[in-house]
Amino acid sequence: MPKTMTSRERVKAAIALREPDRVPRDIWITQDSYVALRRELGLPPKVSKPWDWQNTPNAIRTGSTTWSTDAPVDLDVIEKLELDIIRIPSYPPNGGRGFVHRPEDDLYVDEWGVPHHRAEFETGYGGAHFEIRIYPLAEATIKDLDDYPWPDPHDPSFLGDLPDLIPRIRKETPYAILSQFGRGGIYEQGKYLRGFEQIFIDMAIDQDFVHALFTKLLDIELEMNRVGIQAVGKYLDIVRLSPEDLGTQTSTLVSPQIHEDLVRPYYKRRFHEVRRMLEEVGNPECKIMYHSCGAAYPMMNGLVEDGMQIFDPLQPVEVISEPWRLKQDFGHKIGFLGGINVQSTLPRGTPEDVRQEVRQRIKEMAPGGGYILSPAHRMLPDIPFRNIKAMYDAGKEFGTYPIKL
Amino acid sequence: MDERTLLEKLAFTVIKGQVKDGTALTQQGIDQGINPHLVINEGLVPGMDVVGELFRTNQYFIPEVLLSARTMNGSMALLRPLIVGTVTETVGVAVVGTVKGDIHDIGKNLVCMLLEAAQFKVHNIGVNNTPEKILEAAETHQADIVGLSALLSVTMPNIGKTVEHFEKMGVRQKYKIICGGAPVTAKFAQECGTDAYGANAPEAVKICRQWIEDKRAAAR
Repeated sequence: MPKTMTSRERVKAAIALREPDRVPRDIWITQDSYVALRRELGLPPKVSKPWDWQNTPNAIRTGSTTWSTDAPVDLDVIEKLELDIIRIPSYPPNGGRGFVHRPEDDLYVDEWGVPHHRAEFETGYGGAHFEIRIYPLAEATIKDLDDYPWPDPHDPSFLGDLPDLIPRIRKETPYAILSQFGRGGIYEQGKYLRGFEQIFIDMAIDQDFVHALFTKLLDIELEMNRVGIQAVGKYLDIVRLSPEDLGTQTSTLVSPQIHEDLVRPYYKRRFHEVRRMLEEVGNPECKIMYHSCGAAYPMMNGLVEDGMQIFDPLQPVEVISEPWRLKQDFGHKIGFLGGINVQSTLPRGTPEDVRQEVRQRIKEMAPGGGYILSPAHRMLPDIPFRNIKAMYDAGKEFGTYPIKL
Repeated sequence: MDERTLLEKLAFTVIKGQVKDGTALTQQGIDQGINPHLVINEGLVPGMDVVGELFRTNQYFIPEVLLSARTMNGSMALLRPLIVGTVTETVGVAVVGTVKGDIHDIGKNLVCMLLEAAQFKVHNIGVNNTPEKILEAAETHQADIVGLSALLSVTMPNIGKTVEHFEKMGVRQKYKIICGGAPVTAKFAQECGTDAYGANAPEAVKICRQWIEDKRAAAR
């Protein structure tokens, strides 16, 4: 092992389940928090306006409108915080514009035709989030699915300048590259289009509809990944599939049996086909990352068997899916990214609380490699800069291999 | 079918989430002249109690609970007209909403469904509620219990602000206030000045029931 590695070498070692020189570090942050973070770091200001970012000076570029509030983090922040990964998502369709604001009802329509309400947090932290107001397929039948105006994975706006940008980043920077081309997912986008309550009812009593919807969504997700991977897949270190959420704070959303029958077959095909796409572009080393919030432990075995290689965001829930348990049971097969609590420690703890949590997470997750330190979800504006700093400082303090904690 | 068998079968349809069978059995019970209060309290409610317990212990998940709630609602739609004006066994009145700045409602709606199933009169006031709006709803509906929900760490301080508003207006003591939501913890609930934290929907219902029992005992 070289004395110090480049960021990319470090990340590649970690996700290949080997010990690098130190634990790699990553960030996941909302646009509002990112504006504040840049200010704290003394970097040139940026503004958040995901419905008109192309016409707004210094606007943060919008990645997806499905999860509109994420900021693709710039190289200057990565350098300043000494992170190891640059996340480069694809662009919104239709010329890359983000949300389409509908003045008549003041809603913001995303790229799937789902109208969102922009809700200010109103707790003094500033910022806002976009939440779904109308579920366009709430009353749809199988036949209606054919007529729905689905996004076109071949819309050239999705890739935008990525075919030039990504090879350049690869050549000119030392960072590992994580990209995501899927823009909605299967089960997750099903919830967004159908409505949370209705999709769960469907899963219980109208499985034909669920299969029809998920088939459609899987086709789109695969095609989006195919377009992205064919264009730039050979430069990537990690490809993140469209995120999906399987868990609540204490359990899974649906029973393991429903998951097995209705969700897993689609995930399995997605893992297999994306794996094949990466092999076809000559980059079999690129790892496939899958996201689920919550206590997803009962589904982990299937995910690992079917081809998940990195699990994020490693939410430190207190029952069933504790990080140490996931490491113990699956750490010999997959890597983990995330793990630092955004629900309590980061927003409400002291810097010392954050330091202790990072220490604990590194102690339980980092031995043998397979761990990338990162917040356990996107950081919202309630997380003070001192705690973000404490997280990365503690990553430095405790993250040197061999881990002796 | 004798009364006892019918009530047991009805409870079973609720547990299994069999909407059609539940409605049919309820209609049969009504036609047989079984007291509607008995149908509710010894058929539907015990069925939902089992559902709540199965959910709490991770044997049931959201789809099953939703179906059971729908079964119960189907039966209640038939029974409600028959009990209007009679002395009902409404347990208590709850006003439940998501706090200002937050428009998440899945968990909050589950709590409402289970409270209704436990025979609470529930006023689900939706999402993004200012402290003023929550207080107004509590006063208007003469609530016993106020339930506050937040999904985001950023919006959960609005639980505390709502409690403060109740205090400021001098009505805090009139209500029991319970809160919940993914990032909310028992410690946070206490710091905000609420009376309780519901770790999950069945737990919240259990606490609310206990409060009403205590209130009745105190009144006796």
